Amino acid sequence: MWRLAVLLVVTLAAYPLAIMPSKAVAIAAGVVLFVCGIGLLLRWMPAVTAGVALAVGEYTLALTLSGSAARLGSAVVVGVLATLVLHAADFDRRFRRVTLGVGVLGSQLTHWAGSVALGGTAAMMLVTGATLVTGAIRLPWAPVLAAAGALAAVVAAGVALRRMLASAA
Amino acid sequence: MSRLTPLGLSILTLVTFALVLAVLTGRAELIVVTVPLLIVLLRATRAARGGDIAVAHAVSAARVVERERVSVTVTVTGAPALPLVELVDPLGSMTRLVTGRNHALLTLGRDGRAAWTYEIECMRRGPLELGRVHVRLWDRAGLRAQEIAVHDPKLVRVYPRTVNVRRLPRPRRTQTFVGNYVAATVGEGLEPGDIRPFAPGDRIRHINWRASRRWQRLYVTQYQEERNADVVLMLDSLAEFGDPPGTTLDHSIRAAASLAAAYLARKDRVGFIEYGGFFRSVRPGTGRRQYERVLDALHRADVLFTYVTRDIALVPKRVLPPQALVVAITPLLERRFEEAVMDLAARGFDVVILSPSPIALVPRGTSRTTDLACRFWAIDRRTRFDALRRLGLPVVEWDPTEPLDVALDSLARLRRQRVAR
Repeated sequence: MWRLAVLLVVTLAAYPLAIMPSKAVAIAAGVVLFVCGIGLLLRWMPAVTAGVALAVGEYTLALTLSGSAARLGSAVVVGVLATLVLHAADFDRRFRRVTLGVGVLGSQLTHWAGSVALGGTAAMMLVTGATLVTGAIRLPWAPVLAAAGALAAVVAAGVALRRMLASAA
Repeated sequence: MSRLTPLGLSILTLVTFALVLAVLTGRAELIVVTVPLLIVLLRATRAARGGDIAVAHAVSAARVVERERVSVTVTVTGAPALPLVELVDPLGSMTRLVTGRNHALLTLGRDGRAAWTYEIECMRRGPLELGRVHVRLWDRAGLRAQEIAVHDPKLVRVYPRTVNVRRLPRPRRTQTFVGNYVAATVGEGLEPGDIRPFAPGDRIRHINWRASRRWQRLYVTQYQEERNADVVLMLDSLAEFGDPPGTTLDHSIRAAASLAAAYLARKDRVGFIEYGGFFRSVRPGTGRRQYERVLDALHRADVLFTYVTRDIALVPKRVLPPQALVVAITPLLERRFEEAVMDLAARGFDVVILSPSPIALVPRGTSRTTDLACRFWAIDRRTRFDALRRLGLPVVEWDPTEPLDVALDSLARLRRQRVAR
């Protein structure tokens, strides 16, 4: 599973270079590979999380330097890659030198594929919906709405986790 | 009890970071980046389908000898809906994993069962308890984990390894049962003894025709009976030296097990006394069952420091018969055992001492101080041997790195020399 995690990390770090092949993005990619590599080697999730966060930052840098319009399709790809990197790294951290029973790996990969497909589909639907809404309605106070939406998303995620723990207990 | 995993924290951290960065940079793409992560969280909030789980632990053998391998099979039974079951079966310090791993991740099949097997090698004698399995139930997303401990105890008795012993100290006195020693008494036997004139009641087949023809009178051959003897193995567990599984006590136990097997093969009655913090004894007996009793006592022998030791004079006769050969196996680290043995000799017991040398277990050549200390120790041991020999006790030092037969051969020769004098 560590091989899959390494492949996904390399893909995630290299993807922004396809958007904007520049020295700054390349340096950022190197930093992402280094930090994620440390995390995978030591099986330390905080390092992998930091590496993936840096990869998101690298993607933002590539978008900013390219100066192009919103590339929502690439955002879906980065989101999916980030999810898979976290899953693969966490699975390797937990079960690297563990005997895997029959069907474990297959069922886990199937589950990830399902999550990724669902996430990608939801993201595409969100993108499509947002495109239609912004085309029809002009929002002069869009940054405020964006901030409010971000805050709501974080709060919703926290509430969801709390519910999850409460139902398990 | 369920708990949030590091993956859950990682996802939440990343979502927060991406959303903050989105607001600061004004890039809508970063909001889209968080959508797959939020979907994972939402899927995980669905109530997990749990269920009861049962773990059964099975071992391939309940009794093994040192360095033998045991196959352990763990079977999990539960509802097929249980996603991932992680099991850890902790091993003892005196076992070594040979094939497979004692840590597994399973998913239950349609029949609700899954099993995994691994093999361990038992490095040291003693009771080995297996069966404390730690179970962790994971959801597929890896965001929730529930831990339980299952105890399905399985005891594996690891017996000491034995070696074939050819030269044994021969008991001086025999007992009343049939055995392999030629006794002084005459009766039914195979070993021919004296001849005497025929008397009414003698069997015709005992007539010595050669002597009868020579002296023109009927003579019969008398046969000497073959009897067995009582042997009591006395183990010193007051102190030990060395690192397991090669301490002086471990070597003593292996020697005791080998001697027990050899004497029982000669139809002798063998008993056992563990003289130490634990005072255990096995009454003398014969046969395969007796060997198992002695091995059961040997495999549990251990050092327990105590200021109180049992008076050897209080040991009942049914455990320590007066005419038994007592083979004392001791590294001579504790003065109290020496005194017990001297007490036995003074009361007329036939005693021999086999002493595994602790000096042979010291890693040599590490420092001059260690070598010098070993030389002083060897001188001290020689002094004690001489003192015991002056009291009439045959004592032999045994280097545990050499075969046991070498030391037993020396012991047998010592006893023959004493008898010859």
